[in-house]
Amino acid sequence: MFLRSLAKYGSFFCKSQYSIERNFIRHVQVSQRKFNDKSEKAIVRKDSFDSVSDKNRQTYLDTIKMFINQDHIYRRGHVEFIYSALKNMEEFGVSKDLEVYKALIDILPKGKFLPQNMIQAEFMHYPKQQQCIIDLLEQMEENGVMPDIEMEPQLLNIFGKRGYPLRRYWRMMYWMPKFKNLSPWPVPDPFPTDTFDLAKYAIERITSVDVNSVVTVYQSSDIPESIDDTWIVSAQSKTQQTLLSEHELDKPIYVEGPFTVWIRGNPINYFVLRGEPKPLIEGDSDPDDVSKLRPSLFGLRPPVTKFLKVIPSVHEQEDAVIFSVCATGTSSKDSLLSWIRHLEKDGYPNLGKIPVVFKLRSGTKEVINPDEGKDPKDQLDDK
Amino acid sequence: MLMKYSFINQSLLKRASINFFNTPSLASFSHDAVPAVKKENNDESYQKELKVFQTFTNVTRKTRVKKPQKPPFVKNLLLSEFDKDILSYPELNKEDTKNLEENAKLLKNVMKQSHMSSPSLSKSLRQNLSDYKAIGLQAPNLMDGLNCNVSESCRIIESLSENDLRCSIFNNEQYGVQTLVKFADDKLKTKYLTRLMNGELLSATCISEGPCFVDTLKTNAKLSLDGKTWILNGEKVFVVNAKSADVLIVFAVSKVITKDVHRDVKLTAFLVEKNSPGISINEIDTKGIEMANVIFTDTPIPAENVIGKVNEGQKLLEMLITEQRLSVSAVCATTTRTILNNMINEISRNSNNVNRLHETDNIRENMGKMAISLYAMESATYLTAGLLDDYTDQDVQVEAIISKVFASQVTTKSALSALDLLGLSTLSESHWLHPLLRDAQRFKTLHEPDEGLKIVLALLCLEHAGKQRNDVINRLRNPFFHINFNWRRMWTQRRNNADNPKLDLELPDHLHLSLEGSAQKLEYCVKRLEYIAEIMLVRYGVEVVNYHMELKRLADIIIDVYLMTACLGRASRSYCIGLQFAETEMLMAASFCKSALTRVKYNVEQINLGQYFTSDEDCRVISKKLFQYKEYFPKHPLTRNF
Repeated sequence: MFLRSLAKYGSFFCKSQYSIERNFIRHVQVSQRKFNDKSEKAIVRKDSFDSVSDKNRQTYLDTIKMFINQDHIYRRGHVEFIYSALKNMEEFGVSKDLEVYKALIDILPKGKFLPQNMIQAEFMHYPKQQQCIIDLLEQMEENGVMPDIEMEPQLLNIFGKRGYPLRRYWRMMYWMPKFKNLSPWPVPDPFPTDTFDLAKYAIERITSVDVNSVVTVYQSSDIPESIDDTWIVSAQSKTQQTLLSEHELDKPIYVEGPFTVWIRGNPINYFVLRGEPKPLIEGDSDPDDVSKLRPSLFGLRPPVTKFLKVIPSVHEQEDAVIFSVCATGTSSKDSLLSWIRHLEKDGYPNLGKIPVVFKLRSGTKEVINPDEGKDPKDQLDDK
Repeated sequence: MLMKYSFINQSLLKRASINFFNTPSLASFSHDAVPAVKKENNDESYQKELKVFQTFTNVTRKTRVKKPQKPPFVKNLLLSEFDKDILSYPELNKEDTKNLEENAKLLKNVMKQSHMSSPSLSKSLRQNLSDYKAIGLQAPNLMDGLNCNVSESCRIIESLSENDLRCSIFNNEQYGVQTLVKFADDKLKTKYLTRLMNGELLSATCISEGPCFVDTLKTNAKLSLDGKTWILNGEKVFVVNAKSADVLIVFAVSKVITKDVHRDVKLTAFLVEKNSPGISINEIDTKGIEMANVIFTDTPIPAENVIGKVNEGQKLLEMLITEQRLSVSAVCATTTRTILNNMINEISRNSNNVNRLHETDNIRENMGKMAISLYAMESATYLTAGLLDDYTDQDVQVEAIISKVFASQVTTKSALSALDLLGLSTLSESHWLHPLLRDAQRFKTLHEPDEGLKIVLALLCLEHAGKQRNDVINRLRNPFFHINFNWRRMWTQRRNNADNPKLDLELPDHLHLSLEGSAQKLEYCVKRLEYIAEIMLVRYGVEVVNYHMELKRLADIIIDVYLMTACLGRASRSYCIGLQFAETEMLMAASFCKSALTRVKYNVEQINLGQYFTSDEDCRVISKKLFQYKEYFPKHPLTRNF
């Protein structure tokens, strides 16, 4: 009996197993150092970086140069200086600049910290200096800055081949190139500064679920009644076009949003045009019955199985049928209305007859959480 | 088929007799196509009547008795049922063969003459053809046709293909004229077919609408309210001969059946005069063949121009397409033969005492392989044609597809290897190879690409096997419910699993003794085919339709097995009756079997290994990425990451 039910529902079990996995809360690994207070590590020198009025890369490098020239022989307090330099990076906007990190490492004297015997080499010769550079490398990693080949001789000349910073450097050089290209949606390089380009990229990324998606850019000013003058990045695939044209006229469609998608720290708002979900037609075809394959005699195109039920496309989700996605320059209701008008002009004359409901939320701060009912903060606290 | 012939003949006989005995009523019978007989010119009309009577009396109706239908041969191979009658190669009777050979030889010479070469299928050329009765080959004698059967028409098409316009001639004959000969009613026949056959008109057949299934065809026809005209709308693409054609034969959707979400269509064949309103033609730039897209906008078609019955176009198309596929392989045979003969000439011309090109191993290998493939191609074509001719309503769907696919593959391959062997000289555009190469490409792609056909072929066979073996497959797919059966199977199938099937079909008994080894190879392949087809059905169930890579492998196996059968049958027959060069034929057949055996073994092994041990699954993953990134994605080999 058990076997029979296993054979019958085995695949169902597998499926449900899978869906459990999918809905499971993902564990977020948080390193201990996140909770350490960095200010405890060293005394912060107040004057050198705070006193700079015009904060940019050049003044930052100048400050470093000034420090080196100030005390050319002994360079007192260089560890403290490096810590304060690391802390001030964000303000100067150099946190992603590899040259700056290299300039900071260059402050350390060459040769002085080299271990002279085995014991020194094993027990972290000049621990404070080594830890300082390790922290620097860590900050690089957190900011996603990959060291280059030149940094190796630099570190080698300062701490020797057994130095911990060099070992850390090697580890970084092993992993970081591997992680660098892992993202399935790499952000464009150079990174666009214009919101329009970002929005276009974001919409392209969202619609990459369907390879046939086409991104179109409309101008709201093309619609005479429009108040706003802005761009609308809209995307639709052929499947969505068919779905929209098949939509019944008396059923409303909804414009929902704004939802947020993050592109390298930049939130982009987007809106969704959706309809009510379609009822799933459950077919009862027997996968074992090979007596009715019924191929066509014509080889105009390679055949695919005809199922009794139609497999829903990726746009037909359980909760909605998604017709289109867009982002506009102003995210205003008026621009969304222009979007609908543009779609209407673009081959859906019936769109004007369908009631369109705008379900817009004013608050855009919250990020959509797949696990409803639970606050993301609570989840972190649980652990 | 026989029924149809007799029906047509009877109706024409009736008309001829009326014409002869009852002169005044002639006018009522004459359509605008037949010049109306003027009553005042009695002498002329009398002469005409006499002529009609003469044709009528000269008609010798060929009596062709067909044997009762056989189960489909290739489809049954998947059940390991080998019909040994097929091994005795079909032949025509002595008188027919003599006439046919004379005709074919005459036409071959005519087609090679310089006045027959022209850039398109012009009217004068058509009339020349018609003088030799080379249009409407299968039309009955009464209509001034040759009344060929399939084998004969294939043979004549071979001769016609000597001309560079082979694609155009072939399309006119096999689609346009053939449709009318077989399916049109008498009215349409008198109005159009006679004029097509005497070269006055040219036909073009519109089927394709780009890559789509039959049930997604869009060109539609609606019957007007008074029921007298159909209104045609839509676009047909890559229509051969469309520019100079006078009549178009259009397959259009006349009825759509929607059940839940599924759409099914009914096709109807229409005969459309090209000068009807609402037809526009966009020429496609091609060399050596006329092709165009035809757009219909509200084109009216009189209701009597429906060919066959309304809503039965698909059946008509199915019947038509089998013979059409078969005759493509006849055209291919001529093309390959021309390539081979020209190569022999060119290579021997280039050889001299110092450089004995023709004795090099490389050239010998290529030429030998080409000859063997050509031999196999011919054998399969005429075996299939023989099946169609000899048995009533024989199901040769699969056999025809095999002939077409193999023939077009061989032609392309031969043309490419000619490029290799002839080298530099082929770079000039005027080289003899180029038109042949272009045609080879057309045989491969026109209307139905080979890859797609292979899948269709495998599926047709699997459908047959699935029907017969459904019970077994079902039990094998559910081993927990049928434990005893599965245990028993492990024992009974042990020899198959060990790749050592029992050869109990006794094929060698039906062939010449010296072919015993090859016959055993064939038998082994048949057994393996049955084994692997079952594995595919068990492994994938209904989903098998989607596993195209496996289906293509299965198709390759089926193709090889059928061609082995055809080669062995033909060689054995030739040897037994002592034809010239028969001993070389034996060698060719045996050689084909050798190479086919390795291919079959390889394909069986690949299917047996399954998608995760072959590169199938890898291909799926990579291809998915390609479409995801919409380009070839890997970084350039010189790229640095840091």
